[in-house]
Amino acid sequence: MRRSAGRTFAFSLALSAVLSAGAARSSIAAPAGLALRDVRILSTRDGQLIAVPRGTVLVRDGMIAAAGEAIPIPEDFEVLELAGRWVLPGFIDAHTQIGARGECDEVSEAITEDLRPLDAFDPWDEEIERALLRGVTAVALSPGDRNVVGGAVTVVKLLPERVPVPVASREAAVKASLGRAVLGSGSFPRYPTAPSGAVDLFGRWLRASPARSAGEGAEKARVPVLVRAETRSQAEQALSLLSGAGRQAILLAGRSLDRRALDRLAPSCPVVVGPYDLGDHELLLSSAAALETRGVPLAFSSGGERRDLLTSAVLAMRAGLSRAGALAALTENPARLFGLEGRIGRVEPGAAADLVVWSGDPFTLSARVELAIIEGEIAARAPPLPQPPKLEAPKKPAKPEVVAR
Amino acid sequence: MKRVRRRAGGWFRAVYPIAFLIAAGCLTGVLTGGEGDLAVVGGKICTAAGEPILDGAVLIRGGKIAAVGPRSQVDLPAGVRQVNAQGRVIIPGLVDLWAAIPGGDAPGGSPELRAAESLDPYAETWRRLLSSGITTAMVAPGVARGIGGLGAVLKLRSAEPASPEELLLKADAQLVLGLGQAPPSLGAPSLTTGDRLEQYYALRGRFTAARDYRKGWDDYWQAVENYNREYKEHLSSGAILAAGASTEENPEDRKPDESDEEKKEPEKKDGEKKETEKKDAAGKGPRPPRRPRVDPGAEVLLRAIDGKLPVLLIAHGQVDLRHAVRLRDEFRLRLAIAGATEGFRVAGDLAGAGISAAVGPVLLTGWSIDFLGHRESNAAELAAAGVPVALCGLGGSAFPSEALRIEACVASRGGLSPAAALRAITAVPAAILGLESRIGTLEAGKDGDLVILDREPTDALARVLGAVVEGRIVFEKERDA
Repeated sequence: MRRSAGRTFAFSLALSAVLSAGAARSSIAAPAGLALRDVRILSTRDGQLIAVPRGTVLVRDGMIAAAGEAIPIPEDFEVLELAGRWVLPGFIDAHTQIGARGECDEVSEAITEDLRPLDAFDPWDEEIERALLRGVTAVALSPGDRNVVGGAVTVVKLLPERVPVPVASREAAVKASLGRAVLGSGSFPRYPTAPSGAVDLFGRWLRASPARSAGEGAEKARVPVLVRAETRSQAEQALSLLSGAGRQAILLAGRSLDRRALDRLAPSCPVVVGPYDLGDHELLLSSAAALETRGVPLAFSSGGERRDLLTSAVLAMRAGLSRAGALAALTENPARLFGLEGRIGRVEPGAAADLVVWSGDPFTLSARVELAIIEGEIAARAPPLPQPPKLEAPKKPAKPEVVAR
Repeated sequence: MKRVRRRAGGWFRAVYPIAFLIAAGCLTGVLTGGEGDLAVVGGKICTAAGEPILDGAVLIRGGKIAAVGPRSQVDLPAGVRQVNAQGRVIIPGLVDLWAAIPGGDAPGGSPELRAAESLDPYAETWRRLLSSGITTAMVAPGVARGIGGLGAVLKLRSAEPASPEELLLKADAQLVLGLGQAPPSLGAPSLTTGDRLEQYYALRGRFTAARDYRKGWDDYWQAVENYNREYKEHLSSGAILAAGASTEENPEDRKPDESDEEKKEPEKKDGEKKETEKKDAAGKGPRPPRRPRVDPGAEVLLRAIDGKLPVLLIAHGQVDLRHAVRLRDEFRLRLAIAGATEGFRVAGDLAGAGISAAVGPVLLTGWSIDFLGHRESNAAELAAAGVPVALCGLGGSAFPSEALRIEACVASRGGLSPAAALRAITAVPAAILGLESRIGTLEAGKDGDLVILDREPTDALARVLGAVVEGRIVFEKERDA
């Protein structure tokens, strides 16, 4: 329903563009593709900013066919005239429980390796459209922090009201946690109840997983482990256990892992940070910038519902993160972390056409998402802006005025 | 002051140093520009009162803006200190309607509690506020049981004030009230949804009680008059000797705003005497009327009812907002609303009632049942309906002072024009505080409070390079950053 409305909108835009151009094109035949014309493209490649001040993006079969300056638009393409609007790759949330309404941990056991939050994903959750209108087109759907091994992390695209299909055939990562939330207590008697228990359980799980053996298990063991650590000691234990087991690690940094702690930890694995809030301390906000200078691949997490990925990035930028670093951390870095490099997260030929059209520079926080496009289809569009008051209401004269000439 | 003069032994000795200071001031004024004289030259000036001025200049003399305009049209007197703002953006000093000042937002709960008395002059806060571009801030007690207390407006004349009085611009600027539920960090009351009606009636009850309280005192003064007359008649009839009482029995004509201790005593005396009088036989003369208790809280509410004290009421939900309008209509309050999360649902009512709304939070970070209807276009929708829209942080640690300008960015993302977003953190909050003639815009005659940014005000990445208050540079960003 919504998508068809979106399509109609796109179509009417295209139609008006066609009419204004005065070209006699047939609107009956299905267009072969979509062209976003007169756009400012901002993307990254290997952490380098790629900016096209005035360009065109061509979309065919859900993929980006071409992007850049002076690209000829084929005759049979639908054209969106975007008058200098900004086009960025859709953002990728590196850790979220969106669509699960906060119910994604099966806490009766501490190790639920095979659990998939994808199975509890609600495509009718209104948070999905909200996230799209914040520029997020794909998420790493992940278990929460309450189990030592929570389950599979799956990257899905945020198509509202549609059952999600994982972007890749295999899972993107396994979620683990050594944070306080995994601990059982008197009212919740489950092993572990102490941090040492959590480490023990995590170590046992790693030894049991067939990292170096061949066969079906080996494929599974090649998947990185996204591990939540809140303190430096938790992070050190997690990372040393993972490297001992020959597993790839992605550190999901908790709020106590601020710049100082991360400097001492000096992680060599990718780090997922955030969400950041307005009131957060400089030491926390500047950790992203510190990781960037160390050359650590960085991604952002919204941590769940209603948190804005872009705000986290902008707060990190205010604390020193570069523009290229922020954009990469929102797009190509998470794609790479989850083995999807080149498939999503960039505006370049061959990548999926997951594009977001912004009214201006998103990093000012004063630009809004006008269209979110997933694989060439409009997944969400912004509601119309409230109209400013008319300064002078036209008064109806009681009698028609007679003007003497 | 009088005592000092006497000790000095003459008026001349007291006046001499002052005269010297004035003379010295004139002298330095000639040489380097006087205290509060400054010219900010170059850059784009967003006055918040009209179109931006490109390559403009602001001249401040004696702490007040003497001229604003294109650089070519502003005559800069020789000797005035100049600040080069080439390539920068100059905006009025921001007005934070509800600043997060540690210690300043201690829970209130009674109308007469004054935020001005809880200020900590040594707080690091002042520099932080200035580094966020805030030059005027209201500090208000947190709201408890529907009532916060009296908010004080501070002008950040210095990042290191010697005493909080130095910053005080208006001590009892607003009476802060609240309805609904919000996280405690927002300084709003906590309740379950079912309590909304009860909460409204409790707040309304405080106002009706204040009216009754006034009637009690009116009746009392009427009774005093009657009593005095009757007593005189009683005296003239020669009953004084029989009664054996003195004129002390007359309740003295005190005003209710005298200090508490003085008031309680005569009341007791009255009471005691009444007791003895009752025990004695009747006919010993008229009974003195009983003095009502002084209620400082009711006194404050009466000032609000009389329109002498503006009211800032926190309300987020639609129901609470309607209650706010009812309160205003019933008691004719000068009311502005803070929060107004669901303001877009009642925008027409607010516009019709002429109520200003200080919207916050625009960027949702906390969670409360009152935020369920939150949407970023709220401020824009209110403005479109004709409601004067300010933005505010609602005190509390969740909304640090840096949030104010980011909220303006997000509000403009929601559809508020950049110009309106700037006015929402300058001119409109100044008007809500009743200080529109002094602050909020860059216009001749207003206080020389301005902020220099390196980008547009509605860019979240813009940094405050400098802040000027009344012509003095009170904050400068270090060169390294």
